[in-house]
Amino acid sequence: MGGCMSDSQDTTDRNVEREIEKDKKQDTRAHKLLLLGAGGSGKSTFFKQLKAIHGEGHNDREKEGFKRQIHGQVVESIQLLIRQCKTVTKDPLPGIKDEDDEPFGNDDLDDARLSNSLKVEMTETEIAQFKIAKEFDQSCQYLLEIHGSRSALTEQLVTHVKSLWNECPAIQAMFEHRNKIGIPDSSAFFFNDIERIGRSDYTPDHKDIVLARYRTTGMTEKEFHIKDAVFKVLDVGGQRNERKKWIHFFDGVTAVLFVVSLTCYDEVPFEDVTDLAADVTLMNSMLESIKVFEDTLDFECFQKTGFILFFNKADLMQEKIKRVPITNAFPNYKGPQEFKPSVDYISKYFLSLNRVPEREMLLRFFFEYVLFVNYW
Amino acid sequence: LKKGKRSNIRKQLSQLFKIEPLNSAADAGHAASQQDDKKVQLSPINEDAEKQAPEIGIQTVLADWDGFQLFMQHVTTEFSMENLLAIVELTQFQQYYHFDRVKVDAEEANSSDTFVELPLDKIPHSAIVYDKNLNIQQKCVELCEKYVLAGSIHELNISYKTRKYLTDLYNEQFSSKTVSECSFAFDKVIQELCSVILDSFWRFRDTHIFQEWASKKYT
Repeated sequence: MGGCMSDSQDTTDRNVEREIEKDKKQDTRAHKLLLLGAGGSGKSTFFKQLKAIHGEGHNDREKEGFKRQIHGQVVESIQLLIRQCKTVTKDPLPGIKDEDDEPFGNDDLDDARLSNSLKVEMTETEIAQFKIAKEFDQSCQYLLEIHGSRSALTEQLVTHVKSLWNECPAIQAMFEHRNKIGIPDSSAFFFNDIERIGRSDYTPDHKDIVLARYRTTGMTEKEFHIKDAVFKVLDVGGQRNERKKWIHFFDGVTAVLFVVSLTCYDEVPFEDVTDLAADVTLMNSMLESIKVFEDTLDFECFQKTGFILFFNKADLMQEKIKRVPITNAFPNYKGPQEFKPSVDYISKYFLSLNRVPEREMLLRFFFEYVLFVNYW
Repeated sequence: LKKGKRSNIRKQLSQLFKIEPLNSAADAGHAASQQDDKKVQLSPINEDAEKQAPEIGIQTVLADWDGFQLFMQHVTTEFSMENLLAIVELTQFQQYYHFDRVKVDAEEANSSDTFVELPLDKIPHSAIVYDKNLNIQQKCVELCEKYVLAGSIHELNISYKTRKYLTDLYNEQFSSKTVSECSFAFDKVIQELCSVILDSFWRFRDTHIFQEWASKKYT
């Protein structure tokens, strides 16, 4: 049978083999860097920054994608804010199915739990601040009827979002609780700039792209050529189901870039978001990050792999620390409620989790949209 | 290589759905190879078509059999095929119980029922949804075991609320729910997935494969 093989087949085979060889060589030459971290820590943000600085930047097609993602983020965030206000104040809109009503019928148990916990947590007056005034009914109705993932920002939509965001105190009050209901900080930036991002000729700039928030699913990789070195960086999703996939990418890793959000010590992880009554001291993304970091350090194949710990959102942390102490996640912290000592404690805590002294551990800090600020 | 990859996807799809072909296997194989042949004759990328590309959304890609297969291939390489598999299987579930999807609420009864548009006549049938020996509650249970429960084989990236809601129903084997109520059970999951999958879609749109497909479709 082998004799039947034609010459052209042979040539093709040889070409394919050559390609494979070439790829193999390139693979061994490239340093494989794996971006890991809990959901929402900023892995993809970091990846986007790398692409902007060391890669060829983002092309028009990608920008179109980011534009749609930003539009989606705006719509989903405002919908969440409205729904939460309506749920807490038990003030359904006529004709709109309450999202917290389950797909069919009421779940009595959950409802009872919600109202009980709210009774404990909040007084009537506190609840009253989330009441959306009747004059916004039309805007709420319009916005809730939109299918979040498909929407383009029309003029009408922009007007409704603007009016709710700028004139409705209940929406602002609810936004203050964004840490519990899974609304990204950057949504405020997009709400404030809604007219610009809603224009038909809008193209996202670097800052918009970096601030866009959406869940990453699966894995994406990109090669960066920096001077003579080739880096192959892999970005992955961080939610619990996505972490099960990480093991597929562990082969031949030069270093793990582990990303931790400094501000997540009072944020509920996406996969745990319930309602305003959530207790952030029991479950927050910092505790989740610590757990994920410990699990990652424990992998047999990483015992000799270098780790670079990236502490992200240092700029937002400087603001948050004034309002919220890190004792939410680190009950043993006794230092002052200030940026430097708190961050110092967090970084030391993470480093102390490494039980392999010869493993190289590096620390880096970065701001949400300024890369590679070496903080110390 | 292309041919290999494509047949691989068919294989994966059929393994996952335990394929129940509408046509004979030979027919399906023939159709697939015809499509592959066409693929080889593609003209170089046409600039006009590329300009149109920004207009092509995920709905258009998913509704087209070629587009669907290429996107499936893409999400497989990115390790996120569970999203698309679930969209397909849960949409088949919705469609299978199309006539049971009657809303009690008078105001909602008028709203039209919309499904994700997929080339369902070409996609293999879900072994769970089309199993004549299972009732709707049992199908819901099996779909939860496959996609929803924490630790399930194709566990999805969905919100706590949606997962908890379905997990609670799973624990009582959907026994308190009527057929009509069950037929809506996964609507929220599909809605969430349509948002999550966009992350993969925008990357897919930046690939050469997508542009080849778009130029073929729009020239």
